[in-house]
Amino acid sequence: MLRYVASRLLIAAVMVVLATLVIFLIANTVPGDPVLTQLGDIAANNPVIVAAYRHKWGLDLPMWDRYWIFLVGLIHGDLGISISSQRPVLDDIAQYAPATIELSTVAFVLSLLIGLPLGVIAAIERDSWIDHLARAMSLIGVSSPTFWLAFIMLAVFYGWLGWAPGPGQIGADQFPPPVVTGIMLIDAPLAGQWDTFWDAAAHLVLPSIVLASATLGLITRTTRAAMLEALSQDYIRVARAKGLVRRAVMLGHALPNAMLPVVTLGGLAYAQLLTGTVLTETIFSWPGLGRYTFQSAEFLDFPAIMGITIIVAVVYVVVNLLVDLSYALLDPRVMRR
Amino acid sequence: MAGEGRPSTSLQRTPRKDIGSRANPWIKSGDGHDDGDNSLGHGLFSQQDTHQGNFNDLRTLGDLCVDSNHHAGMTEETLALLQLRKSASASPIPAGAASGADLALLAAEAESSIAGRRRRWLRRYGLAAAGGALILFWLLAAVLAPDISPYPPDVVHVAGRLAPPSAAHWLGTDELGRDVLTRVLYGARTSLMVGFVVVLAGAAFGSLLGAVAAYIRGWAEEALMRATDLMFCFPPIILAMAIAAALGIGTRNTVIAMLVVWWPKFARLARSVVIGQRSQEYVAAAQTVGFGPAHILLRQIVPNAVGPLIVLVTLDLGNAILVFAGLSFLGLGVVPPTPEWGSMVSEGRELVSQWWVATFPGLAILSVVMGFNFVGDGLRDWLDPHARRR
Repeated sequence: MLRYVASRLLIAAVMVVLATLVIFLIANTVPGDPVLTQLGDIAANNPVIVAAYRHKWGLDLPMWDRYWIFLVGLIHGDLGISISSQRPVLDDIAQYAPATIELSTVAFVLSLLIGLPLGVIAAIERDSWIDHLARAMSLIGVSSPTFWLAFIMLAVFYGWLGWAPGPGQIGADQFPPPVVTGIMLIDAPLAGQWDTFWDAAAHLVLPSIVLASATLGLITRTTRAAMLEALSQDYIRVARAKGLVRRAVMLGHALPNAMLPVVTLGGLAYAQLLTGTVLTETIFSWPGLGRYTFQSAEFLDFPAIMGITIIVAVVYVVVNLLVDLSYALLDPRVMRR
Repeated sequence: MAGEGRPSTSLQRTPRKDIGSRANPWIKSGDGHDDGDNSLGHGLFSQQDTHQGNFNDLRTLGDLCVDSNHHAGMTEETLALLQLRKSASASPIPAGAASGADLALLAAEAESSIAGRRRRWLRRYGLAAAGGALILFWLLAAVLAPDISPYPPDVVHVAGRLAPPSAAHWLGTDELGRDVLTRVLYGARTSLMVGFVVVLAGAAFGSLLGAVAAYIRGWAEEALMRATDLMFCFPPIILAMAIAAALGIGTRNTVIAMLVVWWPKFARLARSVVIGQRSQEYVAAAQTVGFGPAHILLRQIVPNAVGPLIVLVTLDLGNAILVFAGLSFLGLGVVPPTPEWGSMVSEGRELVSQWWVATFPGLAILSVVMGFNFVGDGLRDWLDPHARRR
């Protein structure tokens, strides 16, 4: 078991480095120039300023030297300094990451809370109205474009009905609480600002619904299919023959065995949620990593782009590793290869 | 009793008489192969929805006899009674019927009536047919866009901008006074073309790679696994942004970016399916006969393996359209003024009161993707040997 974990960790580390190499190569064949996006028109026409700027940011070094500097910095935990915000990239990421974590986690929990029971019931009451409702909901959630759903939600619930607050993490009339974790739902109660807490929760409703829509569909369908397969096994027949109550059979025998693919896909879905908030955050003006990603790509901010790539790769790799490990834990047959 | 009625043919339609009501306790399922792959493999069909079909081809008790040896220890009467119980819930049985076997025959006959079979087909594949109709509608719209759209798509008419839906403009006009209906119809061309190109090319390349690697085994398979792991680290949006930053925006570069992201999925799926097939007896038989590996792979294994791939291609067509619309929304996809659904939603993003600018393109995306999802689901149900006879 330990060897398995160690080998996976090693491969994971190699993966992350390779990912940065790929992005570095791509980003450096750019014909556009970060210099031009940062200096104004007048300054960009002055070759002395341009040369000085390049020299300061190391843009005049050959490509491999830059990559080597980047790797060395990476080992020391230094991701470079963002060209557009003039701050260390790590600081930028540390500022924006908690908002994304908050949004993704809430969306994931929401989709689990609704999706798991819906999938189980849909499997048990097959072809009933619940089954059809679950399948319809999951299909619509998976098929609708996130950015469009976000717009519709805003237009209907904010613009037309006025039920939900507008874009942003908290309203403009609220004072942000002192930063402890960066997650508004935790920081506000810690500071005793309960009205900020409720305001933040209200602002979370729409974006998390939008994010959860696709994941909900995935979890419902996976749970339903896994439960159906578990219910067709022999041991269910034995359990019923033994005379167990239906609920005991479902929850105690079928459900634990059905959880395996759900855990696998759920873990991957969480990783996708963490890294795939670009569109939602852009529309809801959510101050998270997604919006930061888009802005850095717009400004050709190399260090920021590399930093985000690392974060994304690390998230995926870690989640994959955890899912594989949980798979080995939940299903002993895997280790006995 | 004679042996199995029908030998295993391609698509592995091993008859499974899944008789019984909900929990199907009489089924002995299970894949019989363990490919050890955690992510996509592990019996792909079994992870998906399975329909309960009353779509049962048992017409006579004779068929029951043939397959009774699938159910160890069960007699024909038990099978007939189960059949009876199931069909009793499906179709009415005249009162006063005599013996159990007669009832079973009657029930089986009633089930195989034309109307009954049509109902069953509709219940099973109705959604897929609706999805197919949707896709056909959009394909026609894309092809016939220049002929059926009331206005040219690029003509700017600022005086009539942001007009609500009316008789002159069925879906209203956008910020520059262009007719939304026309642009939606023309947008279908871009979206559908990109979707088909990306998915078909990615599927062809990825499945070939995956199948070959799975058949060769050894280091090639390991290398493929690690390469696809690496590609999975990149969400399509980030890679597309990087490539767009490098090569510039535009449809062609976005398609390249999406292709890079799309092929690993198919490679993984092809690999897991071929792994399931390569340990079957017919492969060993073919090797014994002396066929070369290329022949075995292409002519023997691929026909059996192509089912899940086709399902994934259909489902992914919708997904590719979604991703491309998202990229266009962010400004990375098409170059304006090319009409494209994602960029149209982006243009109408701020216009909450002029809701028609962003709503209708999004509805178009929703309907196309739903159509592909329905058809993919129907295909999966049709091709899945486990779900066939439930």
